[in-house]
Amino acid sequence: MAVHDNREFGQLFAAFTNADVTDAERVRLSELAGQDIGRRGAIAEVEAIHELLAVEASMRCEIMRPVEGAEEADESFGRIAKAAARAGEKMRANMLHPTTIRTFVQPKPSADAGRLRAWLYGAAVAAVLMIAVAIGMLLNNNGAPGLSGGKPGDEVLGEYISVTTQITDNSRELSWFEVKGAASYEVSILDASKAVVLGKTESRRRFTNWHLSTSDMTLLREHQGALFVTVVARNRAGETVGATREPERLEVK
Amino acid sequence: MRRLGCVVRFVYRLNRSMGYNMPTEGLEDVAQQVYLAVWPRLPDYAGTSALETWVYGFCRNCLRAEFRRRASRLRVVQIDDNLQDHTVDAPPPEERAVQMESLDLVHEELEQLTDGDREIVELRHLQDRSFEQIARQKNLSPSTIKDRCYRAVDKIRMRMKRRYGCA
Repeated sequence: MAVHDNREFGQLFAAFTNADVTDAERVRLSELAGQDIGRRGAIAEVEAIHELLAVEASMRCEIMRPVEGAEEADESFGRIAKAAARAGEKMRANMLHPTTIRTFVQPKPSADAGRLRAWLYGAAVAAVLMIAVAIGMLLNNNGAPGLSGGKPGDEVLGEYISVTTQITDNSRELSWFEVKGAASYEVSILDASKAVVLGKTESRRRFTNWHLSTSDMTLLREHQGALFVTVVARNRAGETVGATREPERLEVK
Repeated sequence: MRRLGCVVRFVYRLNRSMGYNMPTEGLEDVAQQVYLAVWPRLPDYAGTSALETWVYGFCRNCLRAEFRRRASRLRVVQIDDNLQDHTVDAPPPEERAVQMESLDLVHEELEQLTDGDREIVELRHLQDRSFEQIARQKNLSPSTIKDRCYRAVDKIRMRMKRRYGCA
């Protein structure tokens, strides 16, 4: 086949593909294709595509024409319209109130947090062991020393009061925890012979400290020998509801 | 949103024209899928073609996807016996079904083209515009439009040939 025929076929085939040929050109294209199976096949393929595109075009015209009353009256059409309206409302709502996805990230435990956890774990284990030992001592107190080294008559009824055992010029305060039911506290600083060096009775229930004056501090500093402190809590009837277990050694620095 | 009202009639009519014959609940799903697909892409709509033409593509794709999903589940494809009611001188139902399937393939191939090329092919072959009209609309020379249109359709032809053995 001549080169000229190839070029002419190519041009006509392109025009044919573009649906831009006259009847005479279409006849000429068939002549140039002749018995060439490839060319005839290509032309047939383009014809098939044109046919499909024509069907598509007519279908689009049909689909895109304005809606008719009979269609709107159809139940199926109405249900589709309602579904579309719901979707539209949903999209509009999403636009007005966009969904926020909140992500919570569990912070990676730091080395400090790990140490703190280990410390707490250790403290808990120690507390359990101490409780176990205490229970064991209480249950096996057959003549052996118990938790209290004192005689039965010395035992304090009520709560045990723990009091500050060290005072300085910068911290001239004796303090203890509030005892439930206490109406007053008697605080005494004693010498080795249990004689009162300084004493104070406070009836305010919330009073759980004693701020020593400068003169009190001077008195205590001038005292020769050991000093002890006791706190006794009494209720309104004057009954003891708590006390230091025994006079606590007081250090004056 | 009001302009998307065309979705309802497109889905309703395409179901019949394409012979899918899906039940109404399936069409409800399709309509919602189209909305959900179109809405986020509205900013991408270039506006060079009519909005309805643009939406039509979504309707076709969603309807076809739903039909195939249901067909694969049911393993039964019913041919709509009422197809002849909708088209004058329509071919027999079986032939019509094959033609619709081929139409789906062409549509898929059109979707594979670039937006610009697809628009040129649609303007030429679906809306029967002259090359001069398209050239003016696209602000390009008629020869460029002719060349792009030819290459696009030829691409469809070659791809269909490779995929299905023939166009």
